[in-house]
Amino acid sequence: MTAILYLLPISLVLGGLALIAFIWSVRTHQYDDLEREKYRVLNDAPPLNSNRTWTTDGASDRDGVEEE
Amino acid sequence: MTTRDATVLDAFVRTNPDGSASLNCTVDGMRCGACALSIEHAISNINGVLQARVNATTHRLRLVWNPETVHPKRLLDAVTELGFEAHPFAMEGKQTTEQNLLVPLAVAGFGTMNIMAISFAVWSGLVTDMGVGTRTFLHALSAVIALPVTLYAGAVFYVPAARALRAGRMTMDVAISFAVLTTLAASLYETIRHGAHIYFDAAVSLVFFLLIGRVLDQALRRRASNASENLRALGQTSAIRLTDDGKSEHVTVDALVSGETILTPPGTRIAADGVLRSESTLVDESFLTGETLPRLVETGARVTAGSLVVDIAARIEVTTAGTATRLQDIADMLSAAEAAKGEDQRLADRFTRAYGPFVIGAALAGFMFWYTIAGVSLSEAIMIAVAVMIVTCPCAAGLATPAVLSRAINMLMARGVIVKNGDALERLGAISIAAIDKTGTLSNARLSPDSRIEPTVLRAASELAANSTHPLAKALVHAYPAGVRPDVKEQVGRGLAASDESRLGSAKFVGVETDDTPSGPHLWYRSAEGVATQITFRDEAHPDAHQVVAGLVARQIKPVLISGDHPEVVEGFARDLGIPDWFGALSPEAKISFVKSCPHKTLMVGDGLNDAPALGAAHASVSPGSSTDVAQNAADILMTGRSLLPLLGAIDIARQSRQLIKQNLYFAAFYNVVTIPVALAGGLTPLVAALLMSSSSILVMLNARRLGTSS
Repeated sequence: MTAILYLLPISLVLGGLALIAFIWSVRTHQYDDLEREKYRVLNDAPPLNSNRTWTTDGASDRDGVEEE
Repeated sequence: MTTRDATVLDAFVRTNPDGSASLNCTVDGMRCGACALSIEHAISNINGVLQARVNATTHRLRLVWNPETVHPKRLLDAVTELGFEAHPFAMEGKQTTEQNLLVPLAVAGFGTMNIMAISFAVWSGLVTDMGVGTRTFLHALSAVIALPVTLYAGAVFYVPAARALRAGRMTMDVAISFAVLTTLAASLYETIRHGAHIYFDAAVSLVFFLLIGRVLDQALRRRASNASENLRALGQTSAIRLTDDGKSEHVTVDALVSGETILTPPGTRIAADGVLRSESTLVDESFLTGETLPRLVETGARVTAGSLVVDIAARIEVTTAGTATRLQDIADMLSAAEAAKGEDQRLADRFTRAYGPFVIGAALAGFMFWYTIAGVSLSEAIMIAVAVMIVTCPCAAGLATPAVLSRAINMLMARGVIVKNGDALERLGAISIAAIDKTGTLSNARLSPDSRIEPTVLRAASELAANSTHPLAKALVHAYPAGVRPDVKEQVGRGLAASDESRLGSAKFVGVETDDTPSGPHLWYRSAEGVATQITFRDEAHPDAHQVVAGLVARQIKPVLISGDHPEVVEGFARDLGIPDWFGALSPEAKISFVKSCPHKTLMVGDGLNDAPALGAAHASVSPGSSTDVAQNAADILMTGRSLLPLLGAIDIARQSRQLIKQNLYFAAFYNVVTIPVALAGGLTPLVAALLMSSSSILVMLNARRLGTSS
C-alpha cells in the first residue's frame, strides 16, 4: 500500500503539467479563434513573414504592434 | 462617399511607433476559416505587407504594412477581388475587462477528475477493509487538491457574491459560495478528526458544473457583442473637414472640434450638429423625426447630426462635436428608460430569489433538527446540513438557462439575427404586443406616387420631374424613369414648366384653384391639354412588411404602428398593411410613454433616433440592420439585414427556449423535492450526492438539445 504514497502524487504532478500546458495555450490566445485554425493544416502557402499573435481588442498586443 | 475612397481610408489608418501603418477592418461575406486563409494569403503576397491576419471567429482583419511601399487601398482591393468586402473599423479604445473563464474551468475540471478518482478509492474502501490511516491519507490528498482549486476557480462566484451581500441582495452566487465554502470547511474538519465522510468531490464538482454554465454564458455574450460591433462598422462614417486654406481632408467623426467646417455632399449624412453656412438645402431628417419628406434648411439654420443631405452639398460649421445636443437628449432619455426597466426580468433570477434563502434555510433547519431534537453530535449534524446544501445547490438550475440560450442564440445567428444577451431572448418569448415604427422599419422611407393614379399621367409628369432635384420629383422619376427634357425650366420652390405649357408643381403654380388640400405630400400636374391631376405620394411599404404583420398576427401578437410622421400618412400606410391600431405624429417622448403605458409586454421595433428611447423602455426591442447607431445600441436584438422577416423565426425560437428553460427549472425544483428529504433524513452519502449532481446536470443539458427539433 505504500506505493500509493508516491504514485498518487506522481499522477497529480503529471496531470498538473497538462493543466499548465492548457493554461499556457489559453494565455497565448490559442483559443481566441478556433474557426480559423482547423483550416491551417490545408494551407500550402509558406508561413507569413511574421508569426506574431494579436487580438482585435488590442488588450494584449504584447509583440510591439501598438494600438492606440 | 464610401469608405473605399483612398482618402477616406486615411482616417482609419494608425501609424505605429516603428513607422509601419496599421488598419483594422471587419470582413463581410466570410463563411469559414478557409476564407480567412485565402484572404491572408492574397494580401501577404503584396509587397510591403508586414502582417495580415484574419480572425475567422470575429470576422476581423488586421493589416500592418510599410506605408512607403504600398497604399492600404491596394490591400482592400485585393480583398474585394476575392469576393469579400472589408470595412475599415476604428477601435473605440475600450479594453475588454472580461475575465477569461477558461482557465478557472480547466482548474476546476482538473480538481474534479483527480478528487473523483481518489474518492472512488475511498468509497470502495468503505465497503472493504481499508484502514483508517489509508483513508485519512486519501482524504488529506483530496483536501490538498480541493483547497486551492475551490479557492481559485470558485472566486468567479465569491467576488460577485460578496458584492451582492454588501448591497443586501441575495443572488445565485451567494447561495453557491455559501454551499461551497461550508462544504469545504466541514470536510476539512472531518479530515482532521479522521471521519468517514467528506464532500470535497461535491464542492469541487459543484464549482466545475456551474463554471460550464458560466463559460457558455460568456461565450454567447462575447459573440453577440462582437457581431453587433461589426454591424456598426459597416455604417461607420468619416467626415470631410475643410481647412482654412480651402483644402479638404477626411477625418473620423470623433476628431471633429466645434468651430470647424465640414463639407457634406448630397446623399451623405451630416457628421455633427452645426449651422448651415452654404446656400439652403433639403435635409432628410427621417431618422430623427420619422417624417418622410425632407425639410428645407435655410442658410444659418441649425442641422442635426445624422440627417441626410438631399440635393446640394452643404457646408456646415460644427457647433457640437461628438455628443450632440438633440442626440444627447435622446441618449439621456434612453439611459433613464433602461435604468427603470430593472434587471429582475430573467426567469433564472426570479427562481434564485426564492431559491437562495431556501438552500440556506433548509440546511439550517436540518442542522437544528438533528442537533437539538434528535440529539446527534455536533459534527454529525453539521455533515447533514452540508449534505442538504449540496443537493439543494442550484447545479441544474445554473445550467438550465445558459444551456438552452447558447443553442438558441447560435441558431438565430445563422439566420441573421443577433441577440445581444440571453435575457433579451427570454423577454422576446413573452411579448404579446408589437409596437412598430413606420419610416425605415416597415416602410422603405421612400415616397412613391399613389398607384391609383393613371400611369400615363404619371409617366408624362415624370418627364418634367426628371429635370428637378426636388425630393417629390425624384420619387416620381424613381417610380417612372424618364430622361431629361431640354425644354423644361425649373422655378425653384414652385415647380417645373415645359415649352408645351404642361406644368408640374404646387396647386398655385399649375393654376388650380381648390379647397381640397390633400393630406400628406403631393404635386399637381397639368398636361399640355390643360387637364390637371393631383399626384399624391405615399410611403412605400417594404416588400416583406405584409408578411411580417400577418406573421405577428398569426402568433397572437397585436401589431401597433407608432410613427413620428404625419397622421394622414400613417393612417394610409396602416390601412394598406391591415394594421388596425396606429398612432401618428409621436415625439420620442410620446413613443416612450406609449410603450410604458401598454398593459401587456411590448416588443418595440424601430430603427431611428426617435425610436431609441422606446427601444430602451420596451420589454424587448428589435432593430433592422439599416438602423442608426443609437437605435442599434438601444435594441436587444438586431437583424443583420434590412428585412424584418427573421423576427418571426426569432419569436418562435424565443418562445420555445422560454418553454425549455421553464421545464429545466421545474426539473431542478422537482429534483430538490425528491432529494432534500433523503438528505434531511441523513441518507445522503458522498457517493449518492455525486451521482445525483452529475445526472441532473446532464439531463438539463440534454433537454436543451431539444430546441429546434420540434415546434
